[in-house]
Amino acid sequence: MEVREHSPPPGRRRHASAWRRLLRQPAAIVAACVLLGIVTLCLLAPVYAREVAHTGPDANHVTATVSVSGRRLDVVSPTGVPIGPTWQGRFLFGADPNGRDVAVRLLYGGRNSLQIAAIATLLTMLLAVIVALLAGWFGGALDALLSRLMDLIWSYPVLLLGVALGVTLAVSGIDLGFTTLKGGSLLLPALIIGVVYVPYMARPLRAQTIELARREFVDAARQQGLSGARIMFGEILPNLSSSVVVFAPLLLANAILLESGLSFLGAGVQAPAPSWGTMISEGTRLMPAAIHLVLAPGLMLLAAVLSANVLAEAARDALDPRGRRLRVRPTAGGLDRGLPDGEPA
Amino acid sequence: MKSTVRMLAIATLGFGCVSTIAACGSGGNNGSSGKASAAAGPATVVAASFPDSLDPQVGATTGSTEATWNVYLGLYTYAHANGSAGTQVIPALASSLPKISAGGTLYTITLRRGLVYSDGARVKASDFAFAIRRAIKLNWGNKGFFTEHIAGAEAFDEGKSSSISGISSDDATGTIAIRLTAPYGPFLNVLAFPAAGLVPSGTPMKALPNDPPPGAGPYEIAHVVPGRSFEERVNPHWAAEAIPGIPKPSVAIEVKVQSNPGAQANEALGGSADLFDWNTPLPPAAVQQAKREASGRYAVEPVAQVTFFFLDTQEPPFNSEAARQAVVTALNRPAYERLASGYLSPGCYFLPPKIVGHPSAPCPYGDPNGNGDVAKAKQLVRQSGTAGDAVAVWGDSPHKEFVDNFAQTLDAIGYRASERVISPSTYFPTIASLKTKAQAGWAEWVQDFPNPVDFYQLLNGKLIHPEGNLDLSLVRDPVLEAGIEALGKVPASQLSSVAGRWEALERRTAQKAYVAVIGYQEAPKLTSARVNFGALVFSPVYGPDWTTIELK
Repeated sequence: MEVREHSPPPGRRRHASAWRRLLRQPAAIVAACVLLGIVTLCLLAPVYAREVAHTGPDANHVTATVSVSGRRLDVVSPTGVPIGPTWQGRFLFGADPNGRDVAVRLLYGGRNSLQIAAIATLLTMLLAVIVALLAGWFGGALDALLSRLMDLIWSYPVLLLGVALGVTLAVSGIDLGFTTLKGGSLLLPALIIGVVYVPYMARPLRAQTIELARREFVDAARQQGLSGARIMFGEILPNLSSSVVVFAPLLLANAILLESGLSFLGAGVQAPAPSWGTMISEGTRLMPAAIHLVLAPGLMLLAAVLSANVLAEAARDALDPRGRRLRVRPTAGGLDRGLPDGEPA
Repeated sequence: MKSTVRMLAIATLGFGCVSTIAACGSGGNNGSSGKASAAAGPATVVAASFPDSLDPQVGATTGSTEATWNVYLGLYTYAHANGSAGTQVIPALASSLPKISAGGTLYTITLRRGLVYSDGARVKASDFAFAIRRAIKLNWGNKGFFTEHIAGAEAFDEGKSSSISGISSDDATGTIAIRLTAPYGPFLNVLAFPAAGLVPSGTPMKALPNDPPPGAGPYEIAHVVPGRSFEERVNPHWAAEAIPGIPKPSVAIEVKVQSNPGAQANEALGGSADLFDWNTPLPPAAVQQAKREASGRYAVEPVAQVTFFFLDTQEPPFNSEAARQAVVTALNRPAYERLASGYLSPGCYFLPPKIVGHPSAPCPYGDPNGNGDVAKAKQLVRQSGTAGDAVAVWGDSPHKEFVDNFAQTLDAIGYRASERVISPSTYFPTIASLKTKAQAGWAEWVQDFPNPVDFYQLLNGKLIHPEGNLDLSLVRDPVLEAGIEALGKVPASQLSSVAGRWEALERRTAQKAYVAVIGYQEAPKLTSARVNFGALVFSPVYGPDWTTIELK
């Protein structure tokens, strides 16, 4: 009796064992450390800029010189080639064509990229869960309406839809009624990415909601007289949490990639604010003379996306050790359309 | 593990194959280089893109005019000379400069005798009117120069008449009379457009880009492979023409498209191509190589172009003269020179150096080769009472670095700058619309023809339009307007007589800081080792003059 009183509830026990399984995966630990490291470095960008590089992310030094191993070198040569990595505090990873410190912009760009990706991921999760619960629980006309809306968004290639919205709103901004997002606002790409990924999460969750709504514990809740809202958010939502946890790092990785893609194409982060995508875009013009301009943000992007994906895989394995798992994996165009095995489509 | 090993093996094999192929390619280039140096021709010209059209009455890009100005001679053309001398209009098919009536509206021109096209047909005076009608009918991009200035051309364009009433000709005497709607000084420049080049009457009134009509110039176009290549052969009838000032070509030209500037540079440096496309800046790595390995056949040539930032002179903060002066004072022009990979010559005057009217006086707000005086600029901003104002700086994506640098300068002198960088395809229509209310932005003007009037339409308050407005700074200066109106009537052949008056306007423009001039674009002149580099003329209007290509 005492044992039962002090035992954690089944949900908490399940999460605790998932956590233990997660910690047993070395790849997951490494990935988590890498991601955490990137986030920490990016958060420390102002400190690095002030204390180490002694310059801001937008400060141009086109005609300045820098001392490297006792020699004065042009930050940007008369033919427009920026200095490469100096491996010292100033211009650690070199300069860009405007003579801006690449390392400083890399960290500030990471802040922007991660900030946008995090907001977009949260937005996607919020909207997808709401859509899935409403469509799956109420069914009928509401389900049909929301499902067709998801189909409509899904029918556009993610990147094209993102570029179309990004280019349109980049200059003019958008009036959301309760607030106005200006053209250069970071919330604009976050909003675009957050919206275009909703179907990729909402559809599998809707299927799960429909399946869960038929379970005994939901019937029991109904018989106890609980309202629809309480059943949705109190009974079904906690049972969706595993899927949401698996989706989160995957969405984060895809949001980072899409943000970079949009910024690369000029439809994401607007100048002069840096992002890894805009940095790669700016760097391509000077390939191969200044390869560091593409290499530095490219490697950072690779590390962030790879670690988020590995973490997602590990979370999936930890939460679903018997292999009853979501077949969700990142693809070039977004997330694969996987559904839980054995679930009704 | 096995699959990893297999992947590595495939990658290694693939890399090996690519390296081998690349090495073979490189060897091939060297081989052709050696062969080329022994050959007498043709000379190979590489172009970054295919001309928009090889039909003279359609083509409007620099790639097209470079190819067609020596094929389709009009009544007038430009001197085949470097520098300022190359901006002089000289008679081509006309026997002399025109007789201009006292009112400046009637041009009487006589055709040279015995002229023939490349197909042997006789050149007639009536072919001129036909060529102008054809350019209008085929909607040549700059047809406004004809329809706005030649009497009756607008009615023809609108379909109200079947001929242009302002042009009359007599095939027997070879006389052509052109009546203008109003005196227009640069009309000789208009007549020198390749689009006014004569083609035989009866040439189909449809674009002929792949089978261009015969012309009366030193070259004829042949073997057009759309999008890829074409040839220019020496016109077999040219020897008989012997028009003074127009050289007889010594070599045929083969033009091929190579869109990759790096590969293009390698071809010119390696010898498999004889002339690099001047419209493409040499990639930075190739510049170093050219300076190191090809110093005797690489040069940087001025282009009649001006790069500037416009400042809305009607709205705060730049309706304040002190605020505009502050911006100009703070400009670090050498920084923009580096952003342009070295292909920009810093300057403060609106007219480029080779254009009549460019002053020799020092710049009013500091040495253009200096890094700018930010402290003084800050003081001027404070004096103007505009410190802290928000300024949106516009630019197109290829010039994003310019916009970044300019915005940072504005921040440094006390403004709050933001950027509006958009696609180049929508940029000019956007900023040229008064609805946009663009406060400041990057702009450039490449001459239509080497005449100050062409540049000063950008500072003429009388030409402000709600859409398609060229006066981006919205300059409304009665002194400038009166000056432009008076000087605009001076015929191109007499431009040098009013150089001092143009210089006075230029000094006023710089003093008032209506625009923040950055400088003037330059272009690479790079040839293979077998080209006689010294003999190759770089026309300030059309770039490398193919008639002057000589192979060693």
